[in-house]
Amino acid sequence: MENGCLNGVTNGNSGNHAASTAEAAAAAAASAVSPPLNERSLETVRLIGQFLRELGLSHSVDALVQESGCALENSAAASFRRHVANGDWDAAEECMQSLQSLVTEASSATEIAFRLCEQRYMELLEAGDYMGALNVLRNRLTPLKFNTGRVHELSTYIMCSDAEELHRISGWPGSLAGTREALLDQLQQFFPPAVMLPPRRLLSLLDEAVQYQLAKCRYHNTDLPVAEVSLLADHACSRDSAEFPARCGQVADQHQDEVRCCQFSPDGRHLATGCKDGAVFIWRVDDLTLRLSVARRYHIGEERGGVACLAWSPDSRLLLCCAAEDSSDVLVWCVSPPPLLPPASAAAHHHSLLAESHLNGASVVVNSASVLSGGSSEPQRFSRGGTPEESLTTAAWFPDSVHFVAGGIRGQFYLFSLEAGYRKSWDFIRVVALATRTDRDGNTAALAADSFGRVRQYRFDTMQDETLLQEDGSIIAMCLSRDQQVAALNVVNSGLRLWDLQHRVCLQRLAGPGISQGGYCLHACFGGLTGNFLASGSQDNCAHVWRIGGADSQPDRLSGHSGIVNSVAWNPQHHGMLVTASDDCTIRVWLPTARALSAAATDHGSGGTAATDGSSGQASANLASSPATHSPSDSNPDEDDDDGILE
Amino acid sequence: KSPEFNASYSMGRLHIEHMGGERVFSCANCDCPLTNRQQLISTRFTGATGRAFLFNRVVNLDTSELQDRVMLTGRHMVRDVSCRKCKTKLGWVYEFATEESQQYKEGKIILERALINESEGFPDPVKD
Repeated sequence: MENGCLNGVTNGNSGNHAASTAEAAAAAAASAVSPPLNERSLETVRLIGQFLRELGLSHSVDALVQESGCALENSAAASFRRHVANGDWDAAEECMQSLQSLVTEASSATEIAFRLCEQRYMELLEAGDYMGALNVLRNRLTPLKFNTGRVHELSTYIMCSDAEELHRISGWPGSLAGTREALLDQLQQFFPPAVMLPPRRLLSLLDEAVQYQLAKCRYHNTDLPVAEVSLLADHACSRDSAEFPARCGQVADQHQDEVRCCQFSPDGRHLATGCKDGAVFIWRVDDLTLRLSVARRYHIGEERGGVACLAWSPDSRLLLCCAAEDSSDVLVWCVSPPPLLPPASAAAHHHSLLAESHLNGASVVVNSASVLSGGSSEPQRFSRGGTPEESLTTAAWFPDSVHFVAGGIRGQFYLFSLEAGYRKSWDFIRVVALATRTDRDGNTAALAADSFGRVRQYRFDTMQDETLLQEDGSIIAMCLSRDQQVAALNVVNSGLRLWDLQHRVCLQRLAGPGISQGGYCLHACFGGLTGNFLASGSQDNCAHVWRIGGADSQPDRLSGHSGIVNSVAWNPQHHGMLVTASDDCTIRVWLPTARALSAAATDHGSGGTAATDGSSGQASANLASSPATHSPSDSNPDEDDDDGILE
Repeated sequence: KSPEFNASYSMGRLHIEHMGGERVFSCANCDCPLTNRQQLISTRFTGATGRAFLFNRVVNLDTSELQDRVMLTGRHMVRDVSCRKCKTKLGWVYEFATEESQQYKEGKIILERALINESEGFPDPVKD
């Protein structure tokens, strides 16, 4: 620990330090000398001194000052601080005379005087000294000719009969509520920091350092308050201890063919998967174990080329499905029926839904039975009723869970509503991918990526459209972040591109040779507690996970599948749960390591492949030594829960 | 109309591009979009099935390995092209022409007329 004194150490600082140099020299005479503290060390000593003083450790403060020979603060400032804290207003004003030259802006001196008098006045009123208060008002506040509006306001407070009424009417919490300290904090900003330190300076610097570490942390996925992060070592979540989906906890092989799509419902309780053979499965997510079990099996028919797109309604009740092979209709299943309503209010509920379709009143087809009350495994079909040449391969819901848009590469781009079916068309747009986006005023627009590499915004209510961005390659897929500010585009031969939709600039390019070379339809998904992760399928049989905005743009790779990973889905409620769907006909659930190992342990019911001592729920070394990402598949038919009823 | 598939190369869903245009050419077997009239350079070519067209740019094609071929117009290095979706052979692409007068064909694609369909498209409504 360095021990030193100020030996001409205030080089580089002008007259601000002039006052302190004199006392520093005096202090120097009293303390030992070698080697002198440099500028940084002196500043640090001052910060530590402020920290100790704010804790009330005044002996330590004195010892620090003496041993380092470093005055914590300009002595006039220190006296000023002391007088204000004690309420010696006249003495404080005297101190201000000598501090006047040090103020950053000359005009502030008046404001400082004003604030001192203001506090003095309020305290006198609080104490019931009306004459004294009036004196301050007339002879000190008014002559300053500063902020006369406030002076008038202050004069009205004289009418208050007691302290409690004063507090209530003025909003001033009172001299016991730390208002003097608050006043000092406010006055500090008029002085350069060399004279008066900003309050709690050391603590703010430490908080900033912690925030920087949290921002850089590659696997950080929890809501850790800044104040709880340890300062003793740099914060960096390890891959295994974080809430990051690092390991495979479940392999489900119920599908018979390539699994092309997967989507979580917005409430995080169900997962929908779509297969090349036309099967659509709904899986329930167990709240505690995050285990998937099949709850429903739908089928769209084998000749449709498989499932191209799955979209949950925002209320998590309805599932929309588009087929891959030039289908002119889209299918909607009611997965969860609406909450039971008594008959009278059921009618009212229906009427309010009709009222919601505010677009020009088309004749309404009263068709509530199949979709709205649901539970049936028959889907409702939506099409324009046009020729079989039509192709709807992608769709997106509006926030009201009643309207949706669907479109395809042949140029169909339609707006549908659940009650009335086809509503409107936007002609001649070859749609590749769809999403909806709501602006601050509550207006929802459809975002369509088209065959010309553009993403454009379409308002079906005003029939206005606008180009947001133009890519220089063919767009394969598009997904939006949870806050709808960022779009991730999969562009042929270019990997993933992140675009800011508000400012229409490209934020980041995430390269991945397996992502877009070869031109397969691979889907990506945002996820994590703050939506700062992006996961994508890839041709190299892995899922790639990037930390967006991180310094490191190398993705984390989740390997284990034996076929192309077509699609990924990140649970919007359980932020450590990621699902991948692959050409190897399986879906895998990726969980934080501890959870994944305990999930795998419960799998090893009888004769599992990994060596284990049978202890479940322990992240034991035994399990860790088994092939990290391999778990036995659960083809146990008892797992399938086909009761058709979902809460 | 169920298309014929040559082989089950089914590995994930292929991304199909579309060039748009008012007259669209697509694969006669599976209707996969290929190119349009604006990309047509010449109709005066001959392929294995008869008349063939020379196009500037075509999408959704797979290419074969490089081949040395002697044609009516001279010796060329070509690759066979086939429809990405159904794998039907559709024509070839010129990579290199030995004769200077034929070098204009380099990088361009021949599609045989009998193996492609022409259909009605529409212009891009976006003017900006």
